[in-house]
Amino acid sequence: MHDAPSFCIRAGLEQRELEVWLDAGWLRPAAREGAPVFTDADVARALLVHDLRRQMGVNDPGVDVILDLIDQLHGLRSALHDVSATVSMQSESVRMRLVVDARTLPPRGPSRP
Amino acid sequence: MSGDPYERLGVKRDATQEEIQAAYRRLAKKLHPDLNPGNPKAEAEFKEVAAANDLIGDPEKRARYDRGEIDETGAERPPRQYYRDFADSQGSYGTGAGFADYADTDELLSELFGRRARGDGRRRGRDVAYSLDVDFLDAVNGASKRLGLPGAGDLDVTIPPGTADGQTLRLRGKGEPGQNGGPDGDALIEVHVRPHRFYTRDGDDIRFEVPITLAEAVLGGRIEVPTPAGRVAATLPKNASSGKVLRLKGRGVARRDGSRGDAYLTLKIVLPDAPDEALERFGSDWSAGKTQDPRRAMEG
Repeated sequence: MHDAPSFCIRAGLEQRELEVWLDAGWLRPAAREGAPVFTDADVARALLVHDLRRQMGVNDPGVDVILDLIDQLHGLRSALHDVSATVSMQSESVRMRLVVDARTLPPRGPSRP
Repeated sequence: MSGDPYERLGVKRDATQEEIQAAYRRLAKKLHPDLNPGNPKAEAEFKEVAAANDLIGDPEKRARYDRGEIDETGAERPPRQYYRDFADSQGSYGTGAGFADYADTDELLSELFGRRARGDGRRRGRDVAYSLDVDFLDAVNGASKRLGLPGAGDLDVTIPPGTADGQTLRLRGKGEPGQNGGPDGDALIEVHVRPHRFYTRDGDDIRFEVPITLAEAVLGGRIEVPTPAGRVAATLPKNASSGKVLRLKGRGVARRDGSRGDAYLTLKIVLPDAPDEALERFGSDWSAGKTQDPRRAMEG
């Protein structure tokens, strides 16, 4: 866990850049007793934003869109994980039934592996 | 030195080693303090240029720097963690917006969507692991320690009496903060106990050697010894040989319930540091000393 100055060093940010990113909602750290507390996940997210802007040529509106899509993606992954976990709790016969029924679904177009 | 070494030397990132060397030489000539006696900043600038050259003038170091394994000062960088490693478990940034419509018509997905919305929402903070070195007696008797964590404040840790080496203490709520009203994670502190110069720990008991004089060994009597529970008087029996073990009840390791294990003292006779005339005379005159055979059982 890191306070703002310590986070800025790890994330390669100036304090005023951090303010801008916080206003933009690119980082949403938790707060403890009124002060923001940054986790390693926040560091990784900041490094991602740096990569988008510096290495991939993404502009600020682009970063908004990409972060939103990534967050939706992870939301979906979590839900998928929970569905899978719920299915695992079922009996063998129910699980087999699900697989058999899934095979009867209409086929989708080709998808990249 | 801070700042990009390539910028410092004024070369492109794909410059050849020769180009870098040429750039360095040009700048060194310009900035060398002895060639710029009127410029007080020359020394600092010259040092920065030299440091940049140390880094990217060396092909191996340059490769490591380019790959991000070391930073501009040459210090090792820990391997990068990517956001995806945190995204699923943390979930504070994740949204259910991508499947909200499915959740309207599907009970299971609606249930999961609800979890997400609440968890967008409340998420328990992660546990954080720390390591703490503790002195032997602090671990045996219990103590309060303050762990200073750079950038994350201080942690007051109570070491319970009898804490063993390698034990993990859990401090509730001192880990990463919970998200939006979720509970805070815990701090997990792995305790490393430093060895003591003469006590060793054996479960709830303490064992150590106690030196005694020849006179004490022969005549017995009371001697004062240290124990983890404070100094105490121990009664030496008469005629105690080295290796004899005395037990002091309740003078060992503290237990949570307030009781203590025992201390086991192994006696060790030590002669005076300097040879003693009276002792030597006694040694040669003493008849029992000549007939005693302590090595009898060691034949063959």
